[in-house]
Amino acid sequence: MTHPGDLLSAYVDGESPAAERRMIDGHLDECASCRSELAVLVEARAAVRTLPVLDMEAPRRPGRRLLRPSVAWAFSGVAAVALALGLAFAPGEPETTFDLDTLRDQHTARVVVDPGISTVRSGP
Amino acid sequence: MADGPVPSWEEVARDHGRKIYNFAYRLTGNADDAHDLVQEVLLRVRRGLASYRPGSFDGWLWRITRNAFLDEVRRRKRRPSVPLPEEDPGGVDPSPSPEDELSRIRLGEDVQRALLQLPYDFREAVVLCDVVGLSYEEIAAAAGIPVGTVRSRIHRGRKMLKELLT
Repeated sequence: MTHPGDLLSAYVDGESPAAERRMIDGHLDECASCRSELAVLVEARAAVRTLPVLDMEAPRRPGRRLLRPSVAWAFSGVAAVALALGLAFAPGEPETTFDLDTLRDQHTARVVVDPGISTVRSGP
Repeated sequence: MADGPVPSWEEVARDHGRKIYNFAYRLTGNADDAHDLVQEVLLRVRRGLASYRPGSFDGWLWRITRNAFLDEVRRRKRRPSVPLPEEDPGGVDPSPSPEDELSRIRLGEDVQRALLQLPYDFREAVVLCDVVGLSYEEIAAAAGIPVGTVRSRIHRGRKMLKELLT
């Protein structure tokens, strides 16, 4: 068999069909150059696969608005649903809970502090 | 989730939000951009779920994710005041302390920096395979390319990555 070339990555990933895998196994027994190439691929693959899995962070740039305003507004509704349901973006970790009573209390307090909201609602 | 019942939006956010975030972070090297992409993807998923028909859910989701990412890159190219992630992979401290060096290795910053130097097509294929954990077929479905192209991109991406890390 000629050198397997880019078939080697599929081989490393277990993506090769059985017949192809057998051929590559046989070739690797004979070919030092392909064994070196295989070692390179295994190392590169491991380097990326062992990168830490990151938890989602809140944006850090103050006053930044990357999303189009319409999208941002739409997402605020989506986010509110997510928060209300206590969704966590990190499976396997303790779930983020959201206290609806606290949310309601904060909202009530805001109306008291900013009576303009009530004024607008009650109208002339 | 492939070929299963259509998931709810809440299930997608819960089960896939973190993976989408890691995909975006590894492609951009930037937490804020990754965060924005998760928002955009979840919005698109919410809009698209109504018309989604059971099939390869991962293929569908990652097609949305990569399209959202590419749309954002294109949008920024039209407004070049915001630097593109590829243009700013982060500077290298000329004389890091041993503690900094240890921290850098622990966080995989050298690998992240090397990833950012790969051509986009190679980087995307490697990240979808080795960070997200998709099969070659799922990557092909997401990117709309033949499996042979996926194989070639992953292979060349890994070889370049190893050269950059040596």
